[in-house]
Amino acid sequence: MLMDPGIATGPAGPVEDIGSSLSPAALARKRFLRNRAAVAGAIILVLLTAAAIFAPLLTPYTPAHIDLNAVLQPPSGQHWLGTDSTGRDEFSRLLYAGRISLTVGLLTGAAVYIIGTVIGVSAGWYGGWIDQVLMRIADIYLSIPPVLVVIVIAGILGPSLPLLIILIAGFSWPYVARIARGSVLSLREQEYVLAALIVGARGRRIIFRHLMPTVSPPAIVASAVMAAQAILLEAALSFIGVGVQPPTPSWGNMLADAQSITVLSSQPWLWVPPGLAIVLTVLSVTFVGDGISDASSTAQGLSR
Amino acid sequence: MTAPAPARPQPGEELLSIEGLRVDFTDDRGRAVHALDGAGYTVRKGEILGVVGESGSGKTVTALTLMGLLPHNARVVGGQIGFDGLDILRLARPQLRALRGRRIGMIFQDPMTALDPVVRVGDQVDEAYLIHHKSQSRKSARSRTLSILDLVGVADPERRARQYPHEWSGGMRQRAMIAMALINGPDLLIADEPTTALDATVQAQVIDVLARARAETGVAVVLITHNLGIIAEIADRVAVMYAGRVVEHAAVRTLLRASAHPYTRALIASRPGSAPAGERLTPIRGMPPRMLTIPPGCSFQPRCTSAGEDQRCVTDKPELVTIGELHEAACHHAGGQVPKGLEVE
Repeated sequence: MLMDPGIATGPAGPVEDIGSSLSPAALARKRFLRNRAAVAGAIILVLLTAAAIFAPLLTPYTPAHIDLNAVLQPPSGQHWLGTDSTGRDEFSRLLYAGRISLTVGLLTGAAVYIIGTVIGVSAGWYGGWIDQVLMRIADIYLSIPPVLVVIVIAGILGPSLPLLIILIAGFSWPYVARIARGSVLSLREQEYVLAALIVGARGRRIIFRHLMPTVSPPAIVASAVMAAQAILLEAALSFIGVGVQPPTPSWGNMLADAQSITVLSSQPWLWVPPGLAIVLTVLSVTFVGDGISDASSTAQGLSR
Repeated sequence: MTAPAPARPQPGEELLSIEGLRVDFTDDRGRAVHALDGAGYTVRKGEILGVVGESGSGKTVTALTLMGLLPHNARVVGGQIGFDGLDILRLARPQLRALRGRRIGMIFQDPMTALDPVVRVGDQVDEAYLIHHKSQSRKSARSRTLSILDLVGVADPERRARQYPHEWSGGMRQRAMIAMALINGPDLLIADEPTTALDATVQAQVIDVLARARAETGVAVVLITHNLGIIAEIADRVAVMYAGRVVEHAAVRTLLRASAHPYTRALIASRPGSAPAGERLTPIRGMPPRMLTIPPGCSFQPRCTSAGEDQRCVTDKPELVTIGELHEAACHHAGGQVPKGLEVE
């Protein structure tokens, strides 16, 4: 009985693994940190978030402060990104607008992850009519164009940020639910799930202990994609006027304010920064999502 | 480490009795496939019952029915299962769950997939204990885990417990599975082809572990296998299954020396060891019946060499009848036409 152990440890892990039993999560973290795009994305997101949170410390102006003596000024030492047609400081507006966009992204991402995994995992685990009902509901949501619904409902109830987040999240969870359900369906057939049932585990314990570690990474990635989409959607909806309402700045309504030919051609400081901010944020979220996806899928591959 | 509290069961007392178990599966065209057609066997406390038969004969389905873990498309349509005075088929789900892992453990064929790849092995064994001992601390669970890993022959259990399954070999993982099954000191361990997926040398070790576990904890074992050699080595009695029924039920020596059912004899004759060196093996001709419609007669009749022109084999299903001491067979020709050299001593 003493002959086995040596053989067992030999060919198991990659070189980095020898001698230590790194958890799959630790391995994934290592791999994530080696992915430059993902790390850069994460750093940019942290900086953007910090800038939005500490906006009052970074700029002396409030975003709604009107200064009619300083309208449409180009960037200068006093107004780093210039001013708009009512003399509001563009840099200040950009930072405060970031609060909106990042809030939309974060809350939508979190809501979509929670709703999506709860529904997807329930559908996959319990199967049968529960699965049928939940997935048909998801199908219905997927077949309704969210922009139209937001326009109609914002028209009826009046546009507001919470409404925007609820509606965007309400239309995004089915993507995450489908992914979660798919991975539960394949995991359910794994013998270790049967083994857990055989030692007397309840469904709930199996779901949290044995399914979630594997279901989570792809669900998080899908939620990140949905968060990026939400930021874009918020910008688009604010741009057409049914999203965040002035005077509260958002990157979308800042762009909306800049839609005349004159502004486009002669006041680029009014539309380049918010446009870049949107692109940068969405790209970063996407890179981070990809990084998580790659890191966790390799971890899975190794540990099997 | 021996089993906790309950006094070691006295060998001989009946622990498990399965009678006339009938289970149907619904196939993807909605037809009923009769996986079990009145299967039954008994296991006494502390004994090892070998269950043999070819694939699809119902060995595993019987075990899963006992565990209450049949797939969704399966249905118990008849029979009963008694386990230490409990009527298993009538137990509510929580009661059944309390039984699983606590009083009945189970291990199966492929230890490579039976452990969660993302949870440390020791934690998985701990979990099996903590599920049934909610008030116990992780620390006491771990000390039990270490002693049970030691019992199943895992060297350096403390270090090994901190590793992930991919760092364990197949044979070691099967030991971990046995440890999980034994940690609560069950009365019955179901081992569903525990060695099929392992190398020959490792097979012998795992069988040793099972034998030792029985000797030290008094656990009864239902050993499901294709391998008559393993049965001969450690089982006390054997149930031979064919087409969803038990066709012969006897002590190992009786079965190997004086099997009464033609299927059992064919099974023994088809073993590699039975043919003289250099000769071809003796296969059992034909295929087991498809279980969509149960033939009125003996399921083995089309492949049977003893049936001959006997119409009873075509029209009447032979019942399992006692033909000797602790020896039952379901064959109209049971006991007859014993091949030369295989007579009862």
